[in-house]
Amino acid sequence: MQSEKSTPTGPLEGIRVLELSHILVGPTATMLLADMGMEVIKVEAIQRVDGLRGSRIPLGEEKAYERSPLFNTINRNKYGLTLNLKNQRGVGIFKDLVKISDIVVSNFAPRVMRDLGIEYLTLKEVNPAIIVICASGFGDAGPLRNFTAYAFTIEDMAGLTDLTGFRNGPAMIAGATFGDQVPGMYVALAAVMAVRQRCKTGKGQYIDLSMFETMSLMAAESILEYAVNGRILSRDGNGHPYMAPHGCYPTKDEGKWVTIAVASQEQWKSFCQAIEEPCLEENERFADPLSRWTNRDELDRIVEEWTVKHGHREVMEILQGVGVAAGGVLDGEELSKDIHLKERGFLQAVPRAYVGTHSYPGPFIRFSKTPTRIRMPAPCLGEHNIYVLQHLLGMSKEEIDELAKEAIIGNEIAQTLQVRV
Amino acid sequence: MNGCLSDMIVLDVTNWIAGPYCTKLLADYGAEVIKVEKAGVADGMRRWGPFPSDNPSSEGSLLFQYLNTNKKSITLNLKSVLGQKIFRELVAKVDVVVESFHPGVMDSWELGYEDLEKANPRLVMTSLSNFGQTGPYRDYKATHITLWALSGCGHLSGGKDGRPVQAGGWVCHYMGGILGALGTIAGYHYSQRTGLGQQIDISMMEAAFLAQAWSIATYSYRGQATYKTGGIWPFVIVRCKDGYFGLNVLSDTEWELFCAFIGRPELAEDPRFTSGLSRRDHGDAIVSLISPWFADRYKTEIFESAQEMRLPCGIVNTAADVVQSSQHKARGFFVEVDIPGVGPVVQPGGPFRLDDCEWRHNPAPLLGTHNTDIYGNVLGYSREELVRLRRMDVI
Repeated sequence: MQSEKSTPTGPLEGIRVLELSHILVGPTATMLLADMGMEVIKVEAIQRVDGLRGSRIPLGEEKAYERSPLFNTINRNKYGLTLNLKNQRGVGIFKDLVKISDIVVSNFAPRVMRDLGIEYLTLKEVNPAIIVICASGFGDAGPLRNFTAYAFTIEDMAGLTDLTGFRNGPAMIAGATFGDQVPGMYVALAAVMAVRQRCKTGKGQYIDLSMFETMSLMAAESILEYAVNGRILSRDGNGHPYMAPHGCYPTKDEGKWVTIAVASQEQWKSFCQAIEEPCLEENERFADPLSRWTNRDELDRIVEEWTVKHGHREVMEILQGVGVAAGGVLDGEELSKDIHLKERGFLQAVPRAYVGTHSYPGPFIRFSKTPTRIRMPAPCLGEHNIYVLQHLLGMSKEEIDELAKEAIIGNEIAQTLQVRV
Repeated sequence: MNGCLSDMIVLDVTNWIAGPYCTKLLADYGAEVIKVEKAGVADGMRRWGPFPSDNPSSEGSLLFQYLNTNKKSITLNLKSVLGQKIFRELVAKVDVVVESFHPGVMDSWELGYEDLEKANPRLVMTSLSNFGQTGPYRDYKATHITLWALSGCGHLSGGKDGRPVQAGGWVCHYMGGILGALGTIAGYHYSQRTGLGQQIDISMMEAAFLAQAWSIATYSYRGQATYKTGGIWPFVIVRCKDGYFGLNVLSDTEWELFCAFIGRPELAEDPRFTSGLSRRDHGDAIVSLISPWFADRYKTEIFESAQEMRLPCGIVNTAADVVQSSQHKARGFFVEVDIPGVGPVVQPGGPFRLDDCEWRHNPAPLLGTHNTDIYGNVLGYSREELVRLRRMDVI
């Protein structure tokens, strides 16, 4: 599978990761690691596939579980293995893989790892240098230890939801799944740090990562404000602590919005000229940054009167043209056609079975001497069983057929998949 | 006990949030991070706050303190030719440079990667910028809300009138910082193994994009849009007696469980609510039906009993709830940092702990504290030379 080439797949080529995770936290982490050249083997079971395979799928179609845009985005650059870990033989094979791997990334609850007999202390006996990272909602200790956690509920618990919403309005979910991806990024960070640690000591370790803790870090400023001044910051919608105008404004097209942030007196002058309202510059109510901020509601209404006459890209071009930060709120369709992302090579066309060729984003970090790219599409279920079992573990074809007969491995789903919207 | 990155030396010329957070992550886990600021101007975050008792003193900015723990501080004027020369001397002695200037600025000072590579072929140079080092938006201006909008994070937010509302906290900046640290360590690992340095280009628009990475495929597979989540079922927040509660009832199984939980099993049979899509369409009706149950109860009691049934949910915690959290206390998440001139201050701890690896939380440095240490001991300048350089506004 790893062909001979002079340029590496990335700066972290030569490191092998076993992924035992579902949905987003673990899979995002191993995607980032795989993008940088690590060999990531994603371990699913035909009796329990990654739940993300059920996201936004056309249920009636053949192999619908291969058609999830979410699964196929997050799991690229990974090898796909199926292994039933509720079976002793399956666990045995997993341990054989641990012997030849460097890192295990799991977002199964630590208690699940223990129930399956693959908790860190057992794996350490098999491979003393193994690094095991378990990401769970609240970590493996404390009163909330076994509580459920999802992206939005963790954002709620971490204080982020409370910071999001219009002024004098209720708290609102932020929208993007920060509560999964941010912990996932920290899991990847823990992995590379543990690799560096191992370079010094030769030893592996177990890292118990809490989504609640990592997301609380995103609310650092509000935590500091409360801890030291006893003050709870109130929601400020699309406003800013000192910039005005600063907001998200409607445009001439329904459902299209544009953000504008005027950061200085100089930018204010340019802004007034660009929107062809030079008298605005003379208006005392907006003459200096403090006045503008104090009168920002009135200012926002004036800005809106202008933005509703234009398209969001038009506003962006006009204002960026005079050095003012303006950005349209772009959706999936617009992002897939965005000229900046295209020219950056950020949208890569990748063919895949069952869905054909589509563009996927990333890699998210660029290296000038060890350039990285999407090398492989997200694996089909058990797609690389032969590569892993035969080439990496040296099993015979007969042994592999036996495993398939006992449904320890396979290529067809053997469960009813929960469809997620 | 040293940190896992104790063999890494970093020259840090970043300001504000993303860059300093990247280098904070490195410093907290053991790297020697030398923060470079221009005397008299300094990192703007020193002026941001929050300030203890709202007293805007020069060293009291709590966010600056938090973002710059464990770093050393030197002053240097990168706009002066002599300052640029000294910078190159420093580059020869370090492993990593992290910068977040507008693309082209370092090049204009002859401190671009090609220039620095000559001083140190093993150098890893991490460049964090709003839109990356290349591309049509390269020279665009951006604040957090701009990045939030252009990265795709914005379009998922917003309620029924459709107006998106910015994600709270500075989450897009932090995402840039975390990827910065991740890329830096990866590049450093490669450089240690091969002797080859390189430049790492991180765009904050692309970093924040990760939080909704599938929006492109969701559109391109079947022309679907991603869902808005502001107060639309299933992503609703309901009021309870002492605050707010967040629900996350997605699947049919979870819906049945939820109906049983609030003592309304008959709602599971209601033809309006039998599928995820139909529940979304009738979300307002659902919220009206369930609100009285929540309004009558306390958030902690709801949370604990819901969790016993494994129901996906969370309390909408305020900053006070987070600081007072018994879970954070049990895991020792918060630490106390003794800030000179301010006193002991509570700060969040690290994202994870590593075995046999110190996680440090020393206060941020006073401006220029390490000038004599770095310029004197590392580069060999005499005290007289340093005084002369200061008078010339080079350091």
